[in-house]
Amino acid sequence: MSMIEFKHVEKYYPNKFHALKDINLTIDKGEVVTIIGPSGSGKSTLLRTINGLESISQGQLLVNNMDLADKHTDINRLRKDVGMVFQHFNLYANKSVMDNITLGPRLVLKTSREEAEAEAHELLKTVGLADKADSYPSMLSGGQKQRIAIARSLAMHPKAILFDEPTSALDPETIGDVLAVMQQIATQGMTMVVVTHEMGFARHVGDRIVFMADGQILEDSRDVNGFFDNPQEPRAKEFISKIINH
Amino acid sequence: MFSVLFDNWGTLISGLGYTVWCSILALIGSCVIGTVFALMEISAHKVVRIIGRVYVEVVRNIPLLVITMFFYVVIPKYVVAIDGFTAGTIGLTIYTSAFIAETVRAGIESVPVGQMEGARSNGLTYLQAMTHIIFPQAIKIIIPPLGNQFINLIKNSSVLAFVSGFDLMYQGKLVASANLQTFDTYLAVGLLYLVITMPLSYFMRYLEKRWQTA
Amino acid sequence: MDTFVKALSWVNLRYLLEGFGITIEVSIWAIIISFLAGSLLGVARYINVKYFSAIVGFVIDIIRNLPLLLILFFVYFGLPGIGIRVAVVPAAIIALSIFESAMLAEIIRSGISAVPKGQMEAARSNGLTYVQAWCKSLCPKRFVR
Repeated sequence: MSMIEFKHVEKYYPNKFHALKDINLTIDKGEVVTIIGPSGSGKSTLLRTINGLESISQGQLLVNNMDLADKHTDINRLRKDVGMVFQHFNLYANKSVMDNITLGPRLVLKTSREEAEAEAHELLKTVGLADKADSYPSMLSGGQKQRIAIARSLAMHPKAILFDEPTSALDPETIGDVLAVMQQIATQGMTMVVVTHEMGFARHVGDRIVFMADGQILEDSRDVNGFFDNPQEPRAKEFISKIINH
Repeated sequence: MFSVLFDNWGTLISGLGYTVWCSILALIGSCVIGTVFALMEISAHKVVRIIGRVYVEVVRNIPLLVITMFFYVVIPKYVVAIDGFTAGTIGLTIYTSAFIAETVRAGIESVPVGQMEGARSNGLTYLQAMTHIIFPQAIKIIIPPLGNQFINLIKNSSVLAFVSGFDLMYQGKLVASANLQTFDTYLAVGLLYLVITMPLSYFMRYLEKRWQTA
Repeated sequence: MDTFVKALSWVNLRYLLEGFGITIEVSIWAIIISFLAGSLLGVARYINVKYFSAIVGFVIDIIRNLPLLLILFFVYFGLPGIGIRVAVVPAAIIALSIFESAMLAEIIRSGISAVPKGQMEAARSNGLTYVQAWCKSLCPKRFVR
């Protein structure tokens, strides 16, 4: 059952820059898809079209059976089911960790305060930050903030979570903690689309790897190990060799 | 100066009362109108944005007195009669709302865009995001300039003198023309204005210092 | 509507334009004077003579906190009370200049204090005297502000 479906999607920026070229991509429920590629390849743009933060110029994009190009689509309903974790966390600076996690459920899902807070405590335990409920984002480290951000997304009981370079802004020591949480969610069957440079995660946790360059999807493989050992496209070969030599 | 002050205490203080009352009304009104136009200026709809921008640019560039005269002379002639105090207060409100709109807009735009993105991705509507996340953070930026606007309001309320608005300036004029001690009278009026504006001014400075080190 | 057209008729237009001319005249004079006076006042705040900067600051604060209209009335109506008579246009220019100088002085003061202390320290360590450091390094920067 497909969750996300791109059909001949094109995107142009107002300055005529062709950001996404003929994107065709179908992501099924429960899949963990990693999108990799050089900077400027359109990976983040692609991700952000899925929950409507960016618009598409042509083609069809269906998410959870909702048509993103349709003016009548209730984008807020879509975002209830598709969460997002950002490179720079985007936690609510004026709210405590507890409020960050419970605000969505209380305002949007109309959960009661008690229920939302009970669940939040559970989520905090899951991500290993049970004692931080009353802290404010400014007091937390990057890795902690990101784990709270993941908990905040999980609190909405989404059908899918999008990750936009979740570890790119973190110190190397804390990357592991965040990846561990992401792996946990993956094993529990969450549909995940992850834009990342963490090849370890892509190789060992991802079900599928998508390689992008210059706004196009050049390679899309369910044989993740096969891709890393022997990429088909020349551009992909070039990219992988550069990374392995790191 | 002090003899003038004592002899006309009642009149002058009544004027001061009207001044303060007009300023408070205008502050509330201009904050409401200003916020509306600020939100229009940052709207996603092009037409709404243009209307907002035009209002702010036009109103900011017309002298307060002209706007006030419009409400004192033009409106009563073609629409409905308005007394001096009301005309002055409305004029002051409209004039100040343009400045407040810019202040509010700057405050909202100073909140990192990631906050709105995070909120919308969390499922919040535009209104919910504004109310719970953006506005609370914008307020901290908005308060200092807003305080200065209030002080400006109190000073600008003197325009009521030209439309028989019974404010401090108006009463000052009356007293001066009656006792012919113009020097002392205006000195007294100045003192009364300072009684309100100086403390406010120093308070704003204190607040700004406190918030900068916070 | 026809009163609007009448207002723009040649006879009335002449009056309006005369008024506009006075507006421009007063504004230009006031801008020039207040720019000069305001700059001086703004810098005066930094002279290290005892109490001087504090007194200057206090006077500036008082003027800034008064309505322009009051200053105008004071110059034109109040001064004659102690024998100083001023014509209308000069009164307007004086009042505006006083008010705007005070405003400018404050703007310049915050511009100056916004230039990082490091600049001054760097200049002094390079051997420049206080005045030299001022003119060569800080003046240009603060004017931009």
